[in-house]
Amino acid sequence: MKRYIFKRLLFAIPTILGSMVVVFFIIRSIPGDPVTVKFGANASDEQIEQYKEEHGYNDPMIVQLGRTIGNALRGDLGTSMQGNEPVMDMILAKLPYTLELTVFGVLFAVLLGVTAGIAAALKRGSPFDVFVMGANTVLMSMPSFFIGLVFIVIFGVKLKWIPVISINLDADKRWLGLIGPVIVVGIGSASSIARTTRTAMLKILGDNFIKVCKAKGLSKSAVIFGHALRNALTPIITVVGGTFAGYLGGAVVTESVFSRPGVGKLLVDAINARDYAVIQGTAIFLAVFMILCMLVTDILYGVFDPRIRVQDSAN
Amino acid sequence: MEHLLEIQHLKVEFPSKAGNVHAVNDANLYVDKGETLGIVGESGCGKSVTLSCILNLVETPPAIIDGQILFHGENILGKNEKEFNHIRGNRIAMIFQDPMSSLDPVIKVGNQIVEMIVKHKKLRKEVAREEAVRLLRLVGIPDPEERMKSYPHQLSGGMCQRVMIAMALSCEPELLLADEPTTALDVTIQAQILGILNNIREELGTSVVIVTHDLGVVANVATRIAVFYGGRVVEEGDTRSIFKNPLHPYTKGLMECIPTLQTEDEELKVIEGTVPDLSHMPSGCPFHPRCKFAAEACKECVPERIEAEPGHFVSCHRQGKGEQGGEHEEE
Repeated sequence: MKRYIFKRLLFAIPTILGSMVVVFFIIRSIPGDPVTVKFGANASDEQIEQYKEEHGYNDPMIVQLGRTIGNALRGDLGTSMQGNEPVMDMILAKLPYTLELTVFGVLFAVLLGVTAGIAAALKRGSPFDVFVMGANTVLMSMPSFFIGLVFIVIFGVKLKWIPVISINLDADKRWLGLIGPVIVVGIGSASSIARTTRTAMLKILGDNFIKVCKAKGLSKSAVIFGHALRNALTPIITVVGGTFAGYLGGAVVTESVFSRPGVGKLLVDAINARDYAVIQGTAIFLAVFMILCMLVTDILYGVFDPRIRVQDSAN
Repeated sequence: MEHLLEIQHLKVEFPSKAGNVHAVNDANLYVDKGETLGIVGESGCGKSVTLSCILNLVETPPAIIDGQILFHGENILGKNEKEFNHIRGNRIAMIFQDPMSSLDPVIKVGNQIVEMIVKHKKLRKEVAREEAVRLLRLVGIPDPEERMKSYPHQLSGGMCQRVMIAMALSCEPELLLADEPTTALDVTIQAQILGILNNIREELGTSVVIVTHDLGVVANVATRIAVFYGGRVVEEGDTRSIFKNPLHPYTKGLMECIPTLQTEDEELKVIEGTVPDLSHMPSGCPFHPRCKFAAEACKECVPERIEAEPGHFVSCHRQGKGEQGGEHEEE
C-alpha cells in the first residue's frame, strides 16, 4: 500500500509542473500588456518600463517561467498588480468560503446520490427508478448557473426562504446562505452519482458472490451495504473525486451567481480587473488543488479495492 | 420414514415473451441423513435451479415456483426471507460452480468466514477467527493463519473452493448443497475437492447433494443418483444399481458416452439431438424426440414413476410396459 501511494505521489509531480506551464503560457497569450492596463492610458513610458524591469517582465520568457514555477513551489504565487498584496494571502482569505461550499456540496450530493442510486437499483424498473433516471437526464442537460438563477428566483425572491446574496450575513444566517448554493452545486452531481451508483449496484447485485452471500444467510442490509456497496465504491469514488475537483473550478460560476466571496469570485474579479498576477496565481492554485483531489481519489481506489493495489505493486 | 429433505412436485417457470421457460417440471427428490445424492444431467435440464430453490435463491418474481420442499417434514418454500436466513448457511449450506467469483473480491477470505460464524453462531470475533483457522486447516489449506489475510484474487481456484467449503461447514449444516463444485477446476484439484466432500459425509455425517454433469464425479462421491432430463427426474436409485443397470434410455445413453480404453478405435458416442428448448417442451416424455425407442405413447403422455427395483425409480413408458409384459410372461 505504501508503495502504491508513493507511486501515485510521484505521478502527480509532472502533472502539477505541466499544469503550471500551461497556465503560464495561457496567461501570456492573452492579448494586451498587463502592465499598461495597470497604469492606465495616462501612464508614462518610463513608469511602465520601470515597473516591468522591477518585476522581471523584461526577462526572457523561459526565465520568467522558471521563476513562476520556482516561486509557486515555495508557496509564492506572486503579488497582486492592483493591491500589491501577495496572491497566496488573498486566496487563503477566500478559500474557506469555497471549501465550505465544496465540502457541503459534495456531502449533499453523495448522501442524496448514493441513497437514490441504491434505491433505484433495488427497485429497478419501478416508478422511483424511472424518476431518478429522468431527473438525471434533466439535470445533466441544465447548466448549474441556470439552476442557480431559477433557485434564487423561486426560493430567494418569491418565497424569501433563503437570502439572495450570501455576503455579509450574520453568523446564524450564514448557514441559511449556504443552503441555496449547496443545493445548486449538489443537485447535478447528486444525479450523476445516483446514476453511477445504480449502474454499479445493478452489475454487482448480479454477481455470483452476492448469491453466495445470500446463501450464507446474511441479512439483506448486510448483503447490500457490507458487500454490494463496498464493491460499488470504486466507480462511485471516481465520480465523487471528479465532482470535488469540478466544484472548485465550477465555484467560479456558482459563487458569481450567489455572490459568495470565494476563490472563484476572486478569479472572476481578477479577470474583470485584468490583474494578471492574481489570475495566474489563482489558476495555478486551483489546478494544483484539483490534481491533489485526483491523487486522493487514486489512493482511495487502492484502499477500497485490493486488486488495484496489488496489480500496481506487481508492475 | 421422514426424509431430511424432500422435494415434491417442484415446478419452476420463468416468464418470457417467447413463452414461459419451464426450468423444472414436477421434480421429485429426497435426501436422507448421511447420504450423498448426485444429481446428473446435461446443461439446462433444471438441476441447478432445483438446487437454488432449496435455499430460496431463485428470485420470485420473475420466477413462478410451485410445489413443496420439505426440510425435516416442514415446507420451507413458503418461508419469508428472515426465516430463511436462519436456515441458509446455518442448517443448509451451499457451494457453487465458479469458486473464483463466489467470494467477495474486496474482503479478506478470513473475514468472509468469520462474518458467517458470527452471524449464525453468535460467537465473539476472536473466537470465530480461531474457528475459521481450524476450518481452513480441516479442508487442507496450508498455513491457514496466513491465508486468512489473503484476498480471493491471491488464491487459486482450488484454494477458493476449499475456502468456500470451509465457509459452508462453519456452522455445521445438516445438508450441504454443491452446485457443480469441481467443474471450474482441473482434474487433480477436482479429485482433492471430491475427497474433501467424501470426508465431510463420513466424518461429520453431513448429507450432501452434488449437482454435476460429470458421471465420473457422481461415481466417486454419490451414494444415490437422480438423473435429470427436461426439468424432471427420469431415473433415481442407488449409485451401484444405476451404473449396473441403467433403465432409462437417457441414462443408458449417458453411460455409453463415457469413453473407456476399450473404445479406442471407435468414435466417441453421443446422444443424438439436443436438450429440449425449455420454453417449448415436447409433449409426453421430454426425451422422446431423442429416444431411439420412442413409441406413440411417449409422444402423448408423461410416463409414470415406477419402482423397477427396490429404491430404483424410473419414468419411462417402455420400462413400465416391459416390466408388465415380463410379469405376464411369467404368469
